[in-house]
Amino acid sequence: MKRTPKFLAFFTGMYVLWSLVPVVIAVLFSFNSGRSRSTWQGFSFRWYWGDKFSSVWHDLQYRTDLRNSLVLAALTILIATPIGVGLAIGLTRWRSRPAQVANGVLLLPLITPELVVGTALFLVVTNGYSFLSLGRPAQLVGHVTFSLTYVVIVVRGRLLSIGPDLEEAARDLGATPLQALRMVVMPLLTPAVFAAAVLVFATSIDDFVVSSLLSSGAGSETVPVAIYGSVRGGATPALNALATVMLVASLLALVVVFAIMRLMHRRSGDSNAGESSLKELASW
Amino acid sequence: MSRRHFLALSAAGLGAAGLTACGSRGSSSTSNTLQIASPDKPVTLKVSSSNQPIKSGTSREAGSLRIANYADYVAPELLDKFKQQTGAAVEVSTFATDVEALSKIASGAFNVDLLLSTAVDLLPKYVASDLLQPLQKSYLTNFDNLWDSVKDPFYDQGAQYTVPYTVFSTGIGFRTDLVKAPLTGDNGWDAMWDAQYTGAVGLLDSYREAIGLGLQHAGIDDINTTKAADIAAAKAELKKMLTATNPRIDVLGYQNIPEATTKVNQLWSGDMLLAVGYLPAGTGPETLGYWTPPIAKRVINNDTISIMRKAQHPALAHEFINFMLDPANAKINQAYIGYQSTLRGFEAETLIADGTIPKNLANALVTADDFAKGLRIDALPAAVDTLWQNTWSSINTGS
Amino acid sequence: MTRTRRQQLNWLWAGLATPGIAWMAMFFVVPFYAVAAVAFGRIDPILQTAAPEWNPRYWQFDSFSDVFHRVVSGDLRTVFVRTLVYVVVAVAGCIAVGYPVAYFVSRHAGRWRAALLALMILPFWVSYLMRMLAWVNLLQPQGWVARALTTLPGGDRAWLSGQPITVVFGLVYGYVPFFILPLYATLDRIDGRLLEAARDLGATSKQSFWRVIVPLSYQGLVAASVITALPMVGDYYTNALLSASPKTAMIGNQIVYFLQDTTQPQIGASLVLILSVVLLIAMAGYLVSVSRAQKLVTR
Repeated sequence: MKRTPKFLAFFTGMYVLWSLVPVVIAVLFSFNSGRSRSTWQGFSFRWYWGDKFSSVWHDLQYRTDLRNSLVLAALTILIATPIGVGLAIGLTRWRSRPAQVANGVLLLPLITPELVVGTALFLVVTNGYSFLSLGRPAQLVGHVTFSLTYVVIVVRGRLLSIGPDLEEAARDLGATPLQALRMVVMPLLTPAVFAAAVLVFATSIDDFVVSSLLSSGAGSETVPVAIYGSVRGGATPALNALATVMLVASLLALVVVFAIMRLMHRRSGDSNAGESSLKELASW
Repeated sequence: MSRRHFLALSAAGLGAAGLTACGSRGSSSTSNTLQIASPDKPVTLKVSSSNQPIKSGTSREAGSLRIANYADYVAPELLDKFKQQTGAAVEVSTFATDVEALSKIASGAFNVDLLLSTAVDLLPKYVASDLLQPLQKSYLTNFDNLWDSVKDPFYDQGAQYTVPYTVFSTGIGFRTDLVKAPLTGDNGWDAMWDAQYTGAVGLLDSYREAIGLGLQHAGIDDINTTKAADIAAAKAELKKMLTATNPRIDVLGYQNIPEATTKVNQLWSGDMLLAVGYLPAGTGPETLGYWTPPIAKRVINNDTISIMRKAQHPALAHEFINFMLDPANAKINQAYIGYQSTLRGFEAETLIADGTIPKNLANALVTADDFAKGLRIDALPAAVDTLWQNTWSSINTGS
Repeated sequence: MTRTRRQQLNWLWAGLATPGIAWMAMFFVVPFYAVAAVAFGRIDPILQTAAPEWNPRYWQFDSFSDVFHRVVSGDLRTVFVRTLVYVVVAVAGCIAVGYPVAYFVSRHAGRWRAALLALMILPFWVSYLMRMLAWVNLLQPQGWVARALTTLPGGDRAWLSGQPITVVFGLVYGYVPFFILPLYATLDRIDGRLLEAARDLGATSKQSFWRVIVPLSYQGLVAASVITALPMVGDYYTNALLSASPKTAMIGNQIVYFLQDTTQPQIGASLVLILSVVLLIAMAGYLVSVSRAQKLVTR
């Protein structure tokens, strides 16, 4: 029987608290009844919808921020997921030089500072790609570019674990490659596609650098950019409320996807659907 | 990655670069020259034949009006009133320094119709880069409400591109209850270098104002100097300040002083008037003090409003300018932003007589006399301007 | 499979991958060329902005060499050095905090493992900005942590004004989740039987830690450190949020400053080029050392 080293257990507990408690406090202060973000003055929903001018619901700029963040995330999912899935399937199977190069290039966004990619996009949009304008179009391009890598990693992982056998069996039974792809591989990939979509959603709504560098002013401001601009000034707890709404949105997306995946596992006869779904989500 | 992979990648890159022959946008390189103005050399800005004012009587466009402005520099109540009057919401994109505004408007990072605070010394750059459109005066029925001294300014004769917004002086704000002795006399700025205020000093995040302070502290009177030696001397002074008092560098003096985050803060006069509203409960306006040098060394300036050439709502923008020239609206605005308006009825004497300004901050207002005699920040030739900006950025790196 | 069948299949895979490849080429690879085009472009005399020069034959290197000199021996050297110092100290902090936690969760957590793993993944779902917002609120003069710290000697200071320790703390807080997970994966993969063998041979738990686990996890530790350090070098928002003072400015702050706050984006572009080269050299050095280590193992 192993002894649990007490010091390490304590240290880990302290780490978890240190990691999460400040965020919990920030969420707590979004319910502050006064204007301070650091002195507790009572409980209220003022900053969510109560205050007629400065609450998240009433402040026009905050509503624009929320709408921009969510629309950008939705569009990013719609574009990055199909392209990414195609990329994952194609690159895993296609044996050629371009594929090897592309594989290498795909890993670069993971280790390149976002500032470098954002700067490069800013300069190319303002100096060359005149069909693209700063603001939502450029921000969308930036978000998709970053998200592609995540989609490819998640989907490819699943693809490798599925293996080529089922697909080959389908082809041996007379299916064309496209049919095999559509009727065998895609259904098996669906959980991974969902997991990738939720990952893209979370990455997009939390993205700051690309959204900030490629913005066109207040009209294209997203929630992280709004937080960045106001946090050192005299912003009210409505800022905390705005951040909390985003946090709830991404946790909700996670829960929804988990529920969908569990449903699909149950339908395919998996008895321990919950745990398999959790494992899939965490496996990337 | 093997050499072949690298070559393949660069080939893809160069090949795709062919796509970018769609031409460059954004910073338009023109063959225009900078028309630098000063009070004794007034300038009529060039209006090219391809950049004419919009037709008189153009109907108001649909959609929101987009303006670029400093933070907290226009009353939200006023924007609401404008929306009720015209049906158009107003979207404000904020910037922290005037050079940032120029940079973002030139690159397209600000897609706005109207710039609510064009700095006078950067105006020649805006015009030479074709970023502004000339005004259609028939919309500006309230133009006559302006002070006579600003209707035909030296930096924009005939007021072709701009309309004045606010007027202010540069000085040092301080907490009367937290400094050893109130700043007075000719050398009040020494307090910025006084080690007893370490960690409680603020410097304006403006390359012209901060380096100007360094110049004046080094005894150099010409705040528009083109001499590299002068600028080096100013840099040395500012570096001494950085070591002595570790100032914070921002444009938030109007919050820092009342909240006692700083005790001594270089700022614009309007900031002190605005600061009254940021005082915590129980602290009265007598704790606020403002110091400027004697008039021969005092920097006076005014912000202007201008309309972007690429504005998508020019008629609406003109309506907004006219709206701001209404004294009733200017009153609402001044109550919120603190800065002194340039409309009739807002002269220093009138405001002091009204009692709207605390007596101890009377020197934060600009009299007609000051306005005529004060030092102005003029535009600099391009290469000199770069030297100033690079000096400021090297100070900003803390090296 | 016949040859034409294979060709057919290859076309299918190529077709699926092409949109993605085209996208990456157009929006990831080409932009880097644009950075060079701007850094080596012609300077417009009015705004001193560089118009991009797409043809390498006409590239002008004056602006770039000026920036290069400032980096090597001028005012920008301070910033570069400071950035590297902050990153090294912050990564050391991540190791100090992250290694024990990763080790505990991977090897000693028992029935708490799933829960702890979930808790370690949770910060990924919180926006980086929100995590920094939380600390700004706590370290403001009226904030709970700031007030608690005033009871300690030397604790009464403006934590959010030009304090390097706040910036490094912020970097550690922000990046340690990205460090812990790969490290956890490495430690998890270490075969438990090796530890059993060590114990059978008479090693104390301390000895088996230092002589079995640490050497086996070394590669993973270095990999996790590199994955954390590289993006950290381009960080600018942590400093802007927690300090906003030139005394703690990182190279990222300078790049954004030139890009957004001046009309000289070409200086920012030059800095990005220099930064990319530095990072490429570091990355190449890392890859070389990894392949060398692999050669040793497979010999």
